[in-house]
Amino acid sequence: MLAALQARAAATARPGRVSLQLLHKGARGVRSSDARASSAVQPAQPSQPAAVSAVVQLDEAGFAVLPKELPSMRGVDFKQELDPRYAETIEVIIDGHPVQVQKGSSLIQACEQVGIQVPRFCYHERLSVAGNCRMCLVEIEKAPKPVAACAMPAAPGMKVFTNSPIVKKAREGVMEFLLANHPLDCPICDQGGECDLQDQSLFFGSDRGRTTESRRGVEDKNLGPLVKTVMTRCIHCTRCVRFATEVAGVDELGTVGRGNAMEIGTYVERMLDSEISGNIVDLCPVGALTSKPYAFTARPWELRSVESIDVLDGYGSNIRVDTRGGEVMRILPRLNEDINEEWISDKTRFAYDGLKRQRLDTPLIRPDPEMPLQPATWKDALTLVAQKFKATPGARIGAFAGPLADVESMLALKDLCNAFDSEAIHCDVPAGPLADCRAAYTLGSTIAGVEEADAVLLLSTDLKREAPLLNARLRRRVYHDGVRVASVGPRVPLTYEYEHLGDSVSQLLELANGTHPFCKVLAGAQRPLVLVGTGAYERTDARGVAWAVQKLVTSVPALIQDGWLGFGTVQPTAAAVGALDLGLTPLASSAAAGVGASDGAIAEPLGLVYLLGYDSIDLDRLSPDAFVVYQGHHGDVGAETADVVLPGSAYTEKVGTYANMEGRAQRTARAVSPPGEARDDWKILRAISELAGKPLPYAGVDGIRERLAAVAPQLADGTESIHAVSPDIAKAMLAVRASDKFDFDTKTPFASCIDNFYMTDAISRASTTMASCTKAFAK
Amino acid sequence: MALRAVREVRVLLCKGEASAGAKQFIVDKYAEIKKAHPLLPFLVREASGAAPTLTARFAHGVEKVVPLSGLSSADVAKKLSELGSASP
Amino acid sequence: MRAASVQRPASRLFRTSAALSAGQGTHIHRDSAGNSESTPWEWTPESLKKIDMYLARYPDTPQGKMSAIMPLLWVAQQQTDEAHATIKAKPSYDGAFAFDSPQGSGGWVPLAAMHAIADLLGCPRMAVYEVATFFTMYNRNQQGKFHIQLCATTPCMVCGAYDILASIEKHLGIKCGETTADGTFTLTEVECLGACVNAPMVQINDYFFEDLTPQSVVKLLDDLKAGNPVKIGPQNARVHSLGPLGRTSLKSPPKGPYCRDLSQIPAN
Repeated sequence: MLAALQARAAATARPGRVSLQLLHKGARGVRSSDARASSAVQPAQPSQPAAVSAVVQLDEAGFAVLPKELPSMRGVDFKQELDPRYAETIEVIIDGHPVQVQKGSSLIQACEQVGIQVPRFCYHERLSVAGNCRMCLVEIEKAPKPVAACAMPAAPGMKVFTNSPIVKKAREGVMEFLLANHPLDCPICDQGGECDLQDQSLFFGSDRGRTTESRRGVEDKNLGPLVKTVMTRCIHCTRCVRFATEVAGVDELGTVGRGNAMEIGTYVERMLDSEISGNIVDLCPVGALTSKPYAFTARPWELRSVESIDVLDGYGSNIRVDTRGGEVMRILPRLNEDINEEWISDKTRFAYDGLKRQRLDTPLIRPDPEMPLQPATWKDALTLVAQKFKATPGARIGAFAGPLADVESMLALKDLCNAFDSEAIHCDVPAGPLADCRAAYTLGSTIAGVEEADAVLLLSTDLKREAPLLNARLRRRVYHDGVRVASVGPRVPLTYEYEHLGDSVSQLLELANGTHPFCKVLAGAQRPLVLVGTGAYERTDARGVAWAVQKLVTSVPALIQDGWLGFGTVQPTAAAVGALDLGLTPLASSAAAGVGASDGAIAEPLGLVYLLGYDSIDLDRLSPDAFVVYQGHHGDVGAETADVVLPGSAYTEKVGTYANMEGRAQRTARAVSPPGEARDDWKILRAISELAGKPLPYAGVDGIRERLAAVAPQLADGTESIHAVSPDIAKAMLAVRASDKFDFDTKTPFASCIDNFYMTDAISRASTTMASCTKAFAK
Repeated sequence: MALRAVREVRVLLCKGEASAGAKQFIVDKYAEIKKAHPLLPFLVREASGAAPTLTARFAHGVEKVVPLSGLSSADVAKKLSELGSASP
Repeated sequence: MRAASVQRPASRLFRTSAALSAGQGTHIHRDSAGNSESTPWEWTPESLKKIDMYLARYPDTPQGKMSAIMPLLWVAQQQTDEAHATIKAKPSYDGAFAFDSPQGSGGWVPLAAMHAIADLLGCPRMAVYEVATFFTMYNRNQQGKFHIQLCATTPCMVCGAYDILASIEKHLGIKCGETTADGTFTLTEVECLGACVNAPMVQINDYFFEDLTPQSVVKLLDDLKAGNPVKIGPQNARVHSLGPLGRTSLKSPPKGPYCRDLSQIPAN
């Protein structure tokens, strides 16, 4: 392993220096000080690693010899990337070199800005400073003892030495103390190979220990089915406690006892009841908190990583899929400041075992409605489907795209159906305001922009379960800046204080008419934000609710202004925005599935029903002679009812574009091959079109991307940026409302569109981990 | 305007001056069009760097694409009605 | 430096410390019959008065109210300290000090009380748990009626504290850290109680019983169990902390405070 490391170091770093950065990149790659990502596509490796040397050359005075120019992170002039509010710099002298660092940064941040990684355990960029590990000690000239770099603010003219003999001795001493009570668990510890304690003791610790006494042992705590705890390994950095309290809003974790007997735990046995609890596994620098489903399955050096996007909710978190031997072993977050920062939700992280169960791997044909599905060849299955396309009149062909469908396959599906004169191509989104304007169904303020809002109204959404990371961002706003949040919808705990205005349509109507007291708050805010959950449109009076929402949005001028679009729909699925962008029609209400037209009028019963991963089909509404084709990757409800099953690929097995709730198009990457005979979804549709005599005008990836650029250029440019809607267009188009009278259902309360956070789509339904979570956390 | 045969209208706009006329057309005329044809999907999508175009889709997936770069609002209206009255 | 009768090794494993001070409980809560989340807890009127007094000392902000966790835990412990009144303290000399209300060392803080404090102050329950587990004076397990706290730090150890411990353990039939089956006595080993001159000694609830011998401690425990009056302070004939020779200095009252009045200083 060392040889491999050295070879890699020789290839990419300066000769003769082993980079700590590289060591981490290969193993975990999620360091907070890694890639300062902008929203542009990130390269797989940093262009210039930080030059922290393990083999240090000392001059006569005992100080480290460092290059004349200290490299900044990724070779980018950090000043250009800074928010102008924080662009002021001061000068400090680090290791003899005068450098300009951002004013207000702590020493540890200042050193990072110039490329020096100070070792640390308890400091984390996104958490409050604890200063209890003492590993980040650096020497300051004229200070009586070394100071904790994480807690000391950089002052102009400060002379800092990060590699002096005192600092080295301090690091060795701290490491020795940490290891004195640490069990010799490396062979059985999952963190081995990506363990901060291992790495830092290798680089900064002494080569021998002096402990002859027995070590303390601590009982393991039960934190639930997701996080495995071996508390003897805990070094009490308190990162998990600070994350739970500050980010997740769960006050259950704490430090009980003191001194040698201190334990991190919940005192009373409780599970960590948060949708983002899995992130403490990433945060823990040692193997005290590890992933329970992943326990004892793989070592990090065996894994191959692919950078991809999560599609199990509408958030579009950036993930890293780790595979070994063609099997997905785990999913880790990737840094993206604009979307998920460094966190992912538990469903994203742990539902990957659903990818290995209930998979469709061969085409299936049901020869007779009474008989079960039989395996068939691709040729037979596709020919049969193509025949049906040719034989069925256009008005009786209907297609439904499910929650995990990628943009390319939905485009191919639409083109195919349109070629056969069908207009009934639906997506799994309830009909809200007309999808003519993009602002009607995307998060206008963008996810990062939610942090600019100064008054927030939530409508019919349980944000904690529909978009837990968005909820965490709102929590930050509430507690750091005192932003007021009000909700009309289910009274649910959101981890922060908010005003619950009610859960009935009447409150919405009052808000729309301007008679509700909260209207004053919205009107007085400079950047108000209205977030609507799709649960608002899953009702019988959905059209009326959409009308009222549009009225509300157009009545508050500050909601749509230059530079701020404060209206957003929290889409719970990854396919929603892409589908509506392409022009697929939403369902009139979820109960209308199986019948077709988007305006709720009963159309002719469908003769050919094409399900693209759509499992919410309402079997009662299907006509008895309907021919159902299911194309998807899991044997869920849709496949059971189908006459032909065509196996497609899941999100880790194809390159697909998905637009998240802000309208940002991101591409998944192919980490493993689809099982058996399964193929890429859009290629299946292309093959059907060819066999049916109306071949789609694209045969390769370039072709379909060109077509996508013609239909929906905002999804096709590959820059992962958001193309915002112009305020005038948004205002003009959202102002267009039907003028019918509506019957509002004041009895049914506004509900969330998500029933069970852990099981919302075919992959999570097939996952045993999600099943145990449902059992454990069922309310 | 008669848009009977049109199944879907797509207006792609860019961020710059070239789409100014088309933008104005949408702002002025969208309500009218929608009132006349409430069930017609009239998709307006913006992307920086895209060429402003107007696409009308007819039966059987036949599409007619008209560039809108630099046209004024009235020109765009004319193009749309031309497309609407054209046979697929 | 070891006394001849010490049977323990010079270095002690850290993990045994928690067990020996089991009066304070381990750092994990385990539900037991009288101590679970659903056990009811009601503040008495006296406790409520004390709570109001303590809350008035701190600002009415979330952080400020959390400062009241410590005194409120003590109020809860005082509320459960009912055994105090049963120690009939017989002063051994004029002016010996006896408490007239429970101070709290015989009580304990049930989980339900910690939850009540958290609800009262509007702070997370974990904050209360953290404070209660930090300090050993808060007993988180039910104590026996008499909480025998034996000091075994250096001066007491040298004077035979471990012999006293052995004697108590033999007499009661329990080990250090345990409670007798009838719930009368809990025995814990604690740190220095500051009565080093009168070593070896124990603190039972709020009273010190000093200058013990293995026999006198047994008699003391029997008296306590029977409800007889007991002498607090030295169990032998010693008065206060007087040495065996009696008073050898400060035999007469001090001369007047002439230094305080500078005008009285003699010329030379």
